[in-house]
Amino acid sequence: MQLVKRFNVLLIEDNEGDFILVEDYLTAIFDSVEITHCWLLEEALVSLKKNEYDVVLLDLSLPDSNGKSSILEILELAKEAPVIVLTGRADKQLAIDTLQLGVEDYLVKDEVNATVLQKSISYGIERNKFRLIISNNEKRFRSIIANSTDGFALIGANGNIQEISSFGKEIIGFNLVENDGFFRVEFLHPDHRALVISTFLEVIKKPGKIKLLEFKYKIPNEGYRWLESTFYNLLEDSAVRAVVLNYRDITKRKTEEEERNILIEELLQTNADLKQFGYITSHNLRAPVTNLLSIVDLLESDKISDLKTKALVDAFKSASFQLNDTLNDLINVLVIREKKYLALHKISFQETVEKNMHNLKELLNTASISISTEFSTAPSIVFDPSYLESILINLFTNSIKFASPDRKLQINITSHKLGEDTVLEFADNGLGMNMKNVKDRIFGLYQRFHERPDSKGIGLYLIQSQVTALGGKITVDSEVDKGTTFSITFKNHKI
Amino acid sequence: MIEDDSITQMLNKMVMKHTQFCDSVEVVSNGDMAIEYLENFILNGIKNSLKKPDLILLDLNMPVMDGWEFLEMYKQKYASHFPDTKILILSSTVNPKDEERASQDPFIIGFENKPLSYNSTNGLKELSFLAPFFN
Repeated sequence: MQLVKRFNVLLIEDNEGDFILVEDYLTAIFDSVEITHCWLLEEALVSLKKNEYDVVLLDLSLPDSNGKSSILEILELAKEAPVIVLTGRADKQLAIDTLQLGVEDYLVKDEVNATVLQKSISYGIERNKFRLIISNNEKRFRSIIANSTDGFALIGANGNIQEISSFGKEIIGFNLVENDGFFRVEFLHPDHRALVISTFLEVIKKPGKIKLLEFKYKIPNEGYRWLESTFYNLLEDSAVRAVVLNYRDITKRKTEEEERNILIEELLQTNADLKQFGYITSHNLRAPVTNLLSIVDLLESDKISDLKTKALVDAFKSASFQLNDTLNDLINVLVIREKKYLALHKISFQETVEKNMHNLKELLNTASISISTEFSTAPSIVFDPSYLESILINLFTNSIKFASPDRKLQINITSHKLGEDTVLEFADNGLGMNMKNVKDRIFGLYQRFHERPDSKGIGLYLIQSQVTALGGKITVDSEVDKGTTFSITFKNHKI
Repeated sequence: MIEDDSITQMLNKMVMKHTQFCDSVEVVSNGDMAIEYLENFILNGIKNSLKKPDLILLDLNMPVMDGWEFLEMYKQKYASHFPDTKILILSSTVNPKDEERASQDPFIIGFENKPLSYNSTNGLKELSFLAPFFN
C-alpha cells in the first residue's frame, strides 16, 4: 500500500513482545507510519480525545479493560477511524461479539503477519469510507425531511406510526403523550373517513402504489384542517417497510377555492339570469315589432288617396323597418354569444359577394359605386355562411354610409393566404377615421365615430363577434379622407 | 292556432285567408284552452260537429300554459287520438335553444317566425307533410 501521507496508528497493547511484533509489521507495510503506543485503555482514551488516527489497533486483554463498555468508549472517540481488535485465543468469543458493536475486524494474534494486518487495515479503511458516505447521506436526507415544511410519516400496514417528521407533527398537532403510536382514524372528518381508509387499504395491497388525497383532519383544540397527502406503498422496500405519507396543510387554499367556487356559481347564475332577461326582453319587443312589420307588409299604401296620410303611412313603414333592423342586430349580438354549434361550410368569396350585391341592390344603386374583387389565390374559406353574409352586409353598408361626398365610392375586396389562415381585405375610399381617436374602441358596442343619423354603433361589434366566434380576428386601418381597410383573418377550419 | 296575441291572431288569419292556406281556423289563446278543445273534440267531436285539426300552429311564449308544456301534455295524452295532425311552431322566440329543441322533436314539422307572411305561408305549402293538401 502506497501512502504519501504519514499514516497515524494508535496501538493499544500491554504486551511488549506483541507491541514490537506489530510495530515491525506496520513499518514493513507503510512507508511512513507514526505509531502512538498506549499500554492502558485509560491512556488510549486520552490520546483519542487529543488526536486523530487513521486506524486504532486494540488489544482486548488490557489490565484496565472491562469488556464491552470500554470498547464502546474507544469506538465513540475513534470517530471516523476504523477500530481493529487484536486478540489472544482466550477471548476470541468476546472479539467476535465486538463486531456487533462496530469494530471493523478482529485478528487472532497467533495468526497475524504483515499481509494479514495490511489487508485488515486497508479493508477497514475502505469499509469505513463507505459507511461514512452512507451515514452522511442519511444525515442529509434526514435534514431535508426534518426541515421540509411538508410533513412526512411512515405508517405500517396496521396503521402504527413508525416515524414522523417534526413538521409532520406540527401539521397534525401530533402529541406523543396523547398518541398511542397509531394513526388516529377518529380524527379524520366523518365525511372523509371512509375514503381515506379505503384508499389506505387499496394502497397497501399493491407495492409501489401511490395515491394523492385531500381530506379534513381534526387538530386538537383547533378544529379541522384540510390536508393533502400522498400515500406511497413502500412496504416491500426492505429499507423502508412502510407506507410513506407526505402531507401538507392546504386549509388556506381550500378556503379560497371554496370562496372562489361560490363566487363563480353566483356569477354564472347572474349571467344566466341576464341572458334569460335578454331573451325575454327581446322576445317581448320582437313580437309587436314583427306584427308591425306584417301590418306594414299587408298595408297597400298605393290605395291611399290622401297624400298626407300616404306620406305618414310610408314614414310609419320605414320607421318600422328601422326598429326591426336595430332589434335584429341586438338579438344577433345576444345569439352569437350563445350559439355553440355553428354551421361550417366551404364558402366561395365571389359567390357570397355577388349574392350580397344582389341583396343590397337597392342600397348599392342609390350611390354610384365601383366594386372590384380579386380572390384568385384564396377563393374560399370554411365558415358559417350566414355569418359571412352578415359580415359583408355590414361592411358594405358601412362603406356606403361613410362614403365621401367628394368622390365616387370605390370598394376593393381581396383575399390572400397567410400561412394556414385566409385574410379577407375590404377597402374603401370613404371618409375614413382618425386612428388615434378610434384604436381600441372601434369594435366596441355602441361606439360611433361619425355623426350620422343611421349610425347605430353596432355593426362592427357584430362583425367582430362573428369573426372571433370562429377563432378569427379583425383589424382596421384608416386615414381621414383617404378611406378605411378592414382585414379579417379566418382560421383554417376543417370540415 | 294556439296564440295569445290578438293582433298576431288577426294577421295570421288574414294571411292564411289571402294565401288560401286552409279551409277553417280555430283560435285558442293558450295551451290550456287548446287542451280543453282537444278534450272536447275527443268526447263530443262528432256530436258538436267540431273539426279535427290537420295542423296545429303553436306559439311558445304564452301565459297559463306555454307551448312546450302544451307539447309535453299533447304527446302524453292526445297524440294517439290525432295520428294525422301535424304541429308547426310559430313563435317570435329569440332563444336559439328553442329552435334546437324544435328541430329534435319528431312531432314538430317546422319552425316559423310569427306572424305569418305571404312568403312564409306559401313556403309552408311545400313542406312534405302539407304538400298533399295543395296538389
